[in-house]
Amino acid sequence: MGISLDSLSPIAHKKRVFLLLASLFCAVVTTPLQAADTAPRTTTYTATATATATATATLSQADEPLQQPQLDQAQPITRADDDYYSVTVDDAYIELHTGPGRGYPIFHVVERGELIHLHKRRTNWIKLSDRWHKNSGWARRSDLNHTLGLDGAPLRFTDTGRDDYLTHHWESGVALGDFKGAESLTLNLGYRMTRNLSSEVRISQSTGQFSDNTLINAALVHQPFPHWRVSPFFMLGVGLINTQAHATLVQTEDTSDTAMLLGAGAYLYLGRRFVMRFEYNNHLILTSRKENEEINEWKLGLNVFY
Amino acid sequence: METWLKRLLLTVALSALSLIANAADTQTRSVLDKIITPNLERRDPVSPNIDTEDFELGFYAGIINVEDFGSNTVTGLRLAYHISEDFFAEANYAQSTLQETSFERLSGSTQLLSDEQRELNYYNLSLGYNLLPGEIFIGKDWSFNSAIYLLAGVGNTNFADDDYFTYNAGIGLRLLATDWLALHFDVRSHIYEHELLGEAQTVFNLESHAGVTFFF
Repeated sequence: MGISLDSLSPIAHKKRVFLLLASLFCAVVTTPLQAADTAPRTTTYTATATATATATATLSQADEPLQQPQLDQAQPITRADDDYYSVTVDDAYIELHTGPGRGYPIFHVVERGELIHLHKRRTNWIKLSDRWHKNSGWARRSDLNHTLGLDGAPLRFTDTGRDDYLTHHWESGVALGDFKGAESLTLNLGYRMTRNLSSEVRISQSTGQFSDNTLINAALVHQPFPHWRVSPFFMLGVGLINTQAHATLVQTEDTSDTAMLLGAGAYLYLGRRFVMRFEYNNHLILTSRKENEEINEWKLGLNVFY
Repeated sequence: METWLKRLLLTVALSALSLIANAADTQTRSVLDKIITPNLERRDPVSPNIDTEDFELGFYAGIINVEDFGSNTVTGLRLAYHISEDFFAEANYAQSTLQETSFERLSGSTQLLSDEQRELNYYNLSLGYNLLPGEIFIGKDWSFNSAIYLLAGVGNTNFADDDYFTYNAGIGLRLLATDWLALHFDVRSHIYEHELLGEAQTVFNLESHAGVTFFF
């Protein structure tokens, strides 16, 4: 596949030839069409609005941008190959680093008009190689914003930001908390179903003075104002709590109970892919004893969305 | 008498005029529209979906020194997610078997823990920061990308039938043999409190290990 692309080397020149051919072709094709068009056009002035619309529609079809369709047929659109995308540089130059980070030295530069192949991405860096696959290195994703696909369309490489926070579906993270005086560690995985509503699974472990708890929850999270930087949320969930008494206390035994969850808190968007989460959880544990047990938990966590 | 007729005629004439003017106006406007509205195709920028390699999975082996229970071999799994070029999140799970304490060895037959209780495992979740990215030169012809990173996190240690909430902190070196294969050399400290020998004490268990990971 690489060879076929290489054969398109004098792109600018070919483009010009194509443009010339295409415009000639269009001139021949559109003249009779336009002539035919003029008849309904004169009538449309007095006719209804819909008729005018259809007339202009046929007109625009005939006057379609001359170069575009023909180019599309001749050249593949930005390649979605197994291995790489091929694009041309439309910036003065792009610097290539030896690794995906600013700490790695620049060793090569690709210039305007050069064909390059994009291979893979790590964080906000993209690995690319030159036309002949000779030199390959890493470029900042934002540096590739001035590149064109093979069909001439501009490409956009944006870093993940706050706008993506609401369009990305998955988020996961860790939270540290205080579970009835014991330190708790929670791992959560969330899926955003709509802008306001997410579902969440979480597993938390707390190690206290007398017992250890493992809690698994499934919850629904509602954010009434998801676009706020500090966005409050409410949650409702059910789960299973497993309490394991410490070995030194002989009388108690391990128990497993159903736990209901009521929670509220707030998301704070930190930047890039990070959100901080502060929350309060009220766990109602339906014990086999006479009374149900209520546990309050405060948590502070860091989530990543992707 | 004639004034009302005049008025009527004038109104009719005026309305007829305005209608004609209106029609003429729409006519010129639609002609103008054709001239002014550029017949250009709008081109939305394309965001290419390039394969990402932000995850790192691998294993490691090393020595963990568990206070009172000797230095023991430890083997573990590592999963990392690179959030940005600076930060990454890492999860570890590892296992080790503890030795006898010096008291047990000297006293002969006394056993503080059963064999089952000597099985130690831990997991932790840490946040890492690539502090010193750069290159390492080995010999005349070889250069490798590398990074020295700092890590800190929380987790859980399980041994002697109990769980201990554990903090960990450490420093490591990641050496990228290729774009997708990395070698790790890590030193970590696992910090927790236990009451196994009577009174509560905070222990700092040092671990050093070497590992291999694959990016995907």
